[in-house]
Amino acid sequence: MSMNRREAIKGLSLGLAQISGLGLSVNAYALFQERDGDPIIPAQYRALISQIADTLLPEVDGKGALAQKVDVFLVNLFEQCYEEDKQALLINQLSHLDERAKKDFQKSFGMCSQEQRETLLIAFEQSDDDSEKEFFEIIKKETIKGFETSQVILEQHYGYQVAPGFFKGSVDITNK
Amino acid sequence: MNIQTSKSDRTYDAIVIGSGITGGWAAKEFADKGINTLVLERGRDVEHQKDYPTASKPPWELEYRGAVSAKRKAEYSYVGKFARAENVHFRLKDGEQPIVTEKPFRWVRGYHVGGKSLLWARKTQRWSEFDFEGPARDGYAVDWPIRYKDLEPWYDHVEKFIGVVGNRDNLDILPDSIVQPAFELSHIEKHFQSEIMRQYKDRHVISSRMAHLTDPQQIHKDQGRYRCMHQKMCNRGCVFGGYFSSNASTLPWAAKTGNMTLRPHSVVHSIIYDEQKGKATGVRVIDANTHEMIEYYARVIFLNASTFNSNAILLNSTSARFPNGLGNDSGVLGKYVAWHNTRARVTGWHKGFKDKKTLGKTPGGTYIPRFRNVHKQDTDFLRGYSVTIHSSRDLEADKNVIGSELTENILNPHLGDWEIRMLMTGETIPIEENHVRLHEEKTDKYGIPQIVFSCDWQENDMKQLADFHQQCGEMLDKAGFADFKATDSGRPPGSDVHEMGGVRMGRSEKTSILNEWNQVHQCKNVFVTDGSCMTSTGTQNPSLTFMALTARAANYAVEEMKRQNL
Repeated sequence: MSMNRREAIKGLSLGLAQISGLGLSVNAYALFQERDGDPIIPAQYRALISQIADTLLPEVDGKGALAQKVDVFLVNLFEQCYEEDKQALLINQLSHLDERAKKDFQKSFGMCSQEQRETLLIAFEQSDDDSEKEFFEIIKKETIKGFETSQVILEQHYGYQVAPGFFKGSVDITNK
Repeated sequence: MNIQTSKSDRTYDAIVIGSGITGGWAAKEFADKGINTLVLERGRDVEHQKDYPTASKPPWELEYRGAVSAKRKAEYSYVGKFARAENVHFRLKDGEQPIVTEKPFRWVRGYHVGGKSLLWARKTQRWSEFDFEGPARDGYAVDWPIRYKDLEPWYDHVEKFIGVVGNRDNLDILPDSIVQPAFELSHIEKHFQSEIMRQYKDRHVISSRMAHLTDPQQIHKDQGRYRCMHQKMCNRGCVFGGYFSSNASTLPWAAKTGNMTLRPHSVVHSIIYDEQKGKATGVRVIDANTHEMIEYYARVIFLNASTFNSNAILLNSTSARFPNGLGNDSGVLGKYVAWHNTRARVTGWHKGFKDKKTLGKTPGGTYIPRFRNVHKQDTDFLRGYSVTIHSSRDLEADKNVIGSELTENILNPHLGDWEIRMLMTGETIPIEENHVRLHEEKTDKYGIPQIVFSCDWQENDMKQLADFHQQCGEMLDKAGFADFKATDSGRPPGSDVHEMGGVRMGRSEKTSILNEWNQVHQCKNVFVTDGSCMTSTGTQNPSLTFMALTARAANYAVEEMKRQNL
């Protein structure tokens, strides 16, 4: 039923992907899975999710939340797997976080420096407000999960093999 | 499915109800002996390899990295937090079979071809004489009508076909299996093993015996199975057939003979009893798609529907001769249900062996057979427990930070302490009060009465649990572990997925339903060989014993058919 709209989004994102400098949060649109009806998380909040993931796990040696497309995972996860009450909490707190940024630093979260963003997120982590705290816990937990279960991280940093074909119970550690 | 077929088209030599670990075995044995067999499965078909949608998929290839969409989760609310993308498609959908729980009970079902054989823990431990003699010696339940020697050749028979890894440990409490090379123990397990064997006279720490292939023989190659590739994804179905399941092994084997017909979507309502002939003549099936009732006929009926469904089918098979359920003159049908107590866990951490790690993955582990009350009663509780052990030394990262420090920490993990996890499998004592029965009014969507569960823990279970905590703590302490934590999950009965009994075997038709060949005492052409036949529960993972009992009974049934006794 929203075929045309979906096509339009796909076309748009493909077009945008050609333009450099817009950031992965825009390119990532092409990877979002098809869903019924309107997106639950509006576009500006998807961008915010990408910025938070990028703040929690910024790129180091070419690897980070955005390089590993953790933001795409997060949006799909929140939209498809989270119950409505948690989705509402996430959207409320995303909005709240952006407002806090404007209040504390006179600019949107996305325009804040890494240091300012971390300050804002830590304030949520240490908040007395249960919703702020829970928001931080959810987004941090899922960002880490998305990162740790990505192919590059598992294979290059955790020695992951689908089918190793063997088990050795007692191996001498030589390198470390 | 055309149900207008003639009666002769719906007539077979044997009907097997259920395609799980025992139904598959009944089908295989019959098919090998040229018996024209109909296998009825209430759920959908699951074809080996083809119908394992998540097999061999790394985490990043799973939708939502293994989480289940809210929409899908809503269809599996009974499964709750156990609904994971890896195998949610093999779980029970809400509304399929509502139950009434008078007391808390968790009933795990596998409604598809292969049943729970796709999902099992694959541990294969033989029973010993101490288990078969248990009820008579310790004065509970009734005496088993068989002993170890009756089952020994059938353990051999089953093990050769399914493939079992392990060592020949030469233990009276756990007779040796026919084995392929064992999975290697981890460094910490080897250490624990040598310390326990040195410091205790009565405790044996062995490599878990498991239904995997490490050295496939011709019989396994003929099944189309390959060596275990250590994927450790054994609850998804294995494309290599590295572990035994009906789907990978017995069912395709039976199909290849041309003697087996498999009919999925067939919910068995009851067994048809013919008063004149004094025996069962067939089964009533409700087609799960059309809800039409169809009758199938056979000389011999094998009931392998899983413990509680086999109880329910017999209870629902009423006639003028058997108003309380088929073969239930004694009134014990549905009673003396028991299971395994798997609530307790002890986790220990060792500070040593920092220069060692593991490589690859193991689907195996370590096992301590029962050591309590074996040769004599030496505690204030009956029977005992076995201990299943897993261990690891995992890569860890400090995640209590954010920003580039967090990225760096995750990219540069370090090995943590060695950890060992000890899990309890306690023998529960079958008592009359622990039972299932049919609800007098409530039915499911097929019009079949709902099952009422009335099963609870006993004081004996709690004494065992406390002893498990205490003994495991002591063993870890003696083996030099720095710290340990003992927990009780408090989960209700059934969470162990080792439910047994209700249709127990025994020597007398006054106190049991089945004889020494798993035949219904009062209706000899009906055999029950799944977990419901168990007189007591032992401390072993029970599937191997169910399979051996099934193979033995099926071969006996074939002999009796030849002798025209059935």
